[in-house]
Amino acid sequence: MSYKKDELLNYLNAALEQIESSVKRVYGFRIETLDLSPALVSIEKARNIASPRDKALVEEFESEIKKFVGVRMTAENIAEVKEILRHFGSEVSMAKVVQDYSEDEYNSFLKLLEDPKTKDCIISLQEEKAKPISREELKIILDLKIVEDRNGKIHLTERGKCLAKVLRCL
Amino acid sequence: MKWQMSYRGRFHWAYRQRRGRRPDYFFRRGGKIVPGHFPKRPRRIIWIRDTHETDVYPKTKAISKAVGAEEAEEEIIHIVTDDQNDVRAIVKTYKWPHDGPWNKVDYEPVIWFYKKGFNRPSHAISFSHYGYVYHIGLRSWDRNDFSPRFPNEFHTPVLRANRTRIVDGTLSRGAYAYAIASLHTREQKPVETSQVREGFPPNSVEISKELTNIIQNWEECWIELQKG
Repeated sequence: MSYKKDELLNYLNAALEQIESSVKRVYGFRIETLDLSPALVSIEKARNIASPRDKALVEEFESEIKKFVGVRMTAENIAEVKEILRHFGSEVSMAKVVQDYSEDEYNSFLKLLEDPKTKDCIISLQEEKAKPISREELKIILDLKIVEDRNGKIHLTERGKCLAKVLRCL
Repeated sequence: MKWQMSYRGRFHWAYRQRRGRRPDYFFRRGGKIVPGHFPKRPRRIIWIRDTHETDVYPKTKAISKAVGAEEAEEEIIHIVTDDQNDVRAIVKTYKWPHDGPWNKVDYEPVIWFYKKGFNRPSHAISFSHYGYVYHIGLRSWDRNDFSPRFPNEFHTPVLRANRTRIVDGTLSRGAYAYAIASLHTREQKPVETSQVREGFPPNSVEISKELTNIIQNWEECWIELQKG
């Protein structure tokens, strides 16, 4: 199903960023309500191109976010928005990570998630602290294009950065 | 309380009492005489008399506490049999209160596939509220095994299978991977039934649409399963 998944994820990412920035603005300029209109526009765009199953998810997100339209933002409300953003954001970035995997790659990726060592390694790579890792594991990560070998040094790819972001939140 | 001594105690020299007199037990503690129990208060055993349909005599059985097993609130069963292909498929819909970030109740259909002559399913397809998951080569088929749940995440069931295959859309793939990752990070255990909350009534039209769709297309699913 390569039905415009890229586009869908981009719209959703944009929406998430817009909401995040408006949350920041609430803090910065002491505004009382969130400005959600640009985010809602991109969510609507996403909804229009989503497949029925993805649409259900997007609609849920939309309805959750719409609750905060014109609502005075208290600390509690902000925490709630952030929680929603965290959950939904993690799903979207995870979807970005696994987007172009084949079935086999996806299955080996799932196995990789079960191993706490590799997870720690990916997180520590993001913080630029190298942790020891076995050759086999390294090979798996390299195959999954989570890390790449640049001049004999291991770096996270874009995909890897996305994954590290999700894993850190867990 | 009616008090009965053990047979051995009754005839022990120190406890022979005059008939009709309540036995009195005392301890000597530092020159003081204090009331106590000797040799030990009989352990209290609770037996439940339980009449089973097939039993002539009532059966006694001890109480056992169910731990950690999660029960679906409701189960709707549709059975589809296909004799030509030697397969039986059972669609069970479980009603779970959805305790994710979105407050709603989930009706979740699970298709169990049985080969002819087998009374336990070999494959299953579960549907979280978007995307679906094939469980290939089931290792366990007990309903209670069926869902270590993710209290804070989307409700994605994980059956114990040799292999799982995720179909339809990458977003749901991502959701599934995220659920798996969080499961392993938190060493999540099933939620106890007492913690399960009441939710809103679900949208029944949507469910029946989904169910009919599954039942109509289940052959396709099975063919795909055979390939996998």
